[in-house]
Order: sequence, then structure tokens, then C-alpha cells
Amino acid sequence: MTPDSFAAASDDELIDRYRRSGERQALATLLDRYLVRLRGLVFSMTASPGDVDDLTQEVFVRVIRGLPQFQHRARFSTWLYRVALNTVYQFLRKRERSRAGDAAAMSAEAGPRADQPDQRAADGEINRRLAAAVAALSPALRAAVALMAIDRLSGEEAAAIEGCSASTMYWRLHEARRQLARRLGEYLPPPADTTNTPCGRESSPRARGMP
Amino acid sequence: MNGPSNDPIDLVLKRWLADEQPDQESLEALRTRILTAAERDRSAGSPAAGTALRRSRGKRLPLVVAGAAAAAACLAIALWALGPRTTAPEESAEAIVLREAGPDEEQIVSQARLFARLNEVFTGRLAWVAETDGRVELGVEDQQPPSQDARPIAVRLVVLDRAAGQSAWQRAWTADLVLDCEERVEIRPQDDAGRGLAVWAHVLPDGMIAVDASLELSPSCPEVSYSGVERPGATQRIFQGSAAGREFEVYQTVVLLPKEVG
Repeated sequence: MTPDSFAAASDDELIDRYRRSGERQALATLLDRYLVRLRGLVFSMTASPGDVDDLTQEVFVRVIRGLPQFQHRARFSTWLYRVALNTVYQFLRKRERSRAGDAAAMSAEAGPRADQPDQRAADGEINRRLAAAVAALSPALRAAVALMAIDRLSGEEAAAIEGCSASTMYWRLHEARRQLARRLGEYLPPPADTTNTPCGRESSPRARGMP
Repeated sequence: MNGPSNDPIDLVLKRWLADEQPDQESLEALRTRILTAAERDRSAGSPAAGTALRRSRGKRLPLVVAGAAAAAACLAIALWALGPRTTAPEESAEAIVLREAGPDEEQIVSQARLFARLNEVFTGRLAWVAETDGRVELGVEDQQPPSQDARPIAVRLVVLDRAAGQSAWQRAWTADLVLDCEERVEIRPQDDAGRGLAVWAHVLPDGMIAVDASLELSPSCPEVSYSGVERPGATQRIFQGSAAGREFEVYQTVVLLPKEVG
């Protein structure tokens, strides 16, 4: 198999290839497809720059370890996201036990540096407040934000990952946006238009499917 | 996927994430770390391949609710007794698993009925019930979640162990869980035995059940993690390993319970 053919192979083909012969290139290709998005998901769920790489590594190791049992009943991407969210939930629970509160910890971690120019300092302040606001959401609401608002998955795709109905995901996204808006207040830019329905469903056409 | 959003919240979220993106060099370092860790993990041995076993229909006592107390998110009550699970000496792992594995039809109905009744008691806020060696815990949501059509899921985990080099296995621990499909059950270690458990499961459109389970077998044994897609009713060996002079095997059975029970 040439590098080009690895790149053109489907997820299922790469998984079969890895399971049959343990080819590192098949695994590396899968990793390349999902690394940035998975890391982004982990970051937006934890808001913890110091932990995101370790957690991302843990997710992929768990997934790779589970590949021999993967039966192609669900899409690989759905399964991958599901493992990622469960790994993060586990991390959040452990952190809750060892910290007094997420929000205070987030504020300390995401604070602006003194050497930043004004604009970067302003951005840093928004990011710091946003990290604290995200950290104050329940894990289920964070997941709705990470999957639907940031990763732009549809309600149906996010529901398949979270194991609930699409209407539950839309409700969670709506609730998460409401809570974030309340906490961010003046730091939010004015809305450009009103294409969203009250329940959080996007009226714009679907651009692309989940890989 | 959806197209771009104009929601102000989404815009600041996207910008936040973009600001925190690592550079290419850091990404490459992470990629290398993951591939190296995966190779190391593979050479060290990963969870055993699934072994389908036929379930026995051994007699068990019906579940019995004994009481309920406390109003926190997690309540402990004396709840169900699944009958004697004594293990005769000199048994093979397969013999124990055939006897101890997933619940039979009578138990399935009992579990479903119990879950439904307790859910009524907690006005629809019951998320899960877990029984581990006679200790029962409930997970109760603060608020009633949006109504769901999903059926509850029953998960049984059986841990066998034996001294290294011995032939006979014994049942070391059993956990029985019933959970709603999007709920995560987490049982924290309560004593020096140190057995903690986290399980999350949900039903896929084709009826298969995706399960994530992690289990601390003992303070001296590393955490067992398992992710897989299971056929309802089949028993899978999800772990095989040893620590501190003992060998461990962990078996898992997942069953979809009926939603409504008369």
C-alpha cells in the first residue's frame, strides 16, 4: 500500500489493515485524520492546557487498544468521540475530587500573561472568562458545546455519540448557550444576524458530514 | 456537520479554541508520543480478545428492595440480593463464568421492574442502580431529564482471581448495574479493598451496545479500561492479567432491559 492509498482508504479499511498486519502507517493515517479535532474536543471539555495532550494521548491509546473488538457496527468517528468524552468525564470527576472548584482553577490556568500587548491581553481576558464559564457548565452541557457549537456536528451526530436523543442535545446546547451568555455578558460580540431558532437548531444548510 | 454559526457564543468559542491551537511542531510531538505509547501498549499486551460463552440458567433469587435513604445525587440502600454466589473450590474460569454470567430472563424482568418502580419513587430522576457485593447505590439526577425512549441497560461484571500458578479460579467480585443509556455510573472505592468502577453504555441503532468500562481491581493492580461494542446477552472476557502475585480475569455481560414492565 502506498502513502497515497493509505490517505485514500476509508477508516474501516485502515482499521482492518491495522488489525490484520499491525501496520503502523494505517494507524498513523487514522491518527492524522482525527488528532486536531480530538485534541480540540478535549481542550474545549477540560479548558486545561496542561492536561490536554496527556488526555488526548490516553483517548487514542484506549481506542487503539479497543480496535481488535471494533465491529464496524458504529462509525469509527462516533466511537472515537464517545471514548474521548468518557475519558474526559472520568478526568473531570477525578479533578472535581481533588480541586475545590473548576472555575477557580480555570481562572488561574487561563489567565493573561503580563507581557502580552493590549489586544492579546484583551483576548486573554475574554478567553480567561470563557474558560471559567465553560468550566462552570455541567459535563453534559460542555459536551453539547464542544460537539455542536465548536465541532459543528449536527444534533443527530452528537446524539449518536452521547447516546441520547437529538432533541436532548439541542436542549443541552440551548441551555449551555444561555448559561454562557449570562456569564460572559459584556464580553460577547453583538449577534450578526438571527439565523438560529430558539431551540438552537441551525437554519444554515449542512456543509459536510462527519468524517 | 452543520455550517458556520453566527451565534456570538459560538464565535467566541471558536476564537478561544483557535488561540489555544498548538503549533505544528507540538502537534507532531504529540503524534509521535501517541504512536509510541500505542506500540508500547501493544507489546505489553492489551485486553484479551472476546470469548463468547453460553449463559447458564442457574437459579437465582428475585431482587428485593429493602429500603432507601438520603437525598443526595447518590444514595446507598440495601436493595437487591441476587442469591448465593458461593464458589466451589477447584473450578475452572469457564465453569464459574457460565454460572455467574449475565442475568437470566427472570432476572432481566426483575431488574427492569425494579428500575421502573424506583424511577417512579424518584419521580423519573433515577439514572442508575448499582449493586456490588451486597452494597447498593443509586444515582439520582437533580432535575428530571428530558423524556427518552431508550430502554435501560443491565451490565454485569464478574472478576475472577487466583494465586499465580494455581489452577482453580474463584469469584473475587461481582457488580450488577442498571443504567439509563446516556448515564455514567461511577462507584468509588469505599475501603482498603479499593475496588472502584465506572461504566457507560448506550444502545446503537442496530441493537448492539457500546460499553466503556474501567475498573480498579485492587490497590496493587492497575486500572482496567475497556471500550467495545457488545452483542446483548453475550459474555465477553474483557481483561486478563496479573499483579502482586495474583492473576485476574474480568468478564462482562450486557443486556438490554424491557422499557415497560407490568
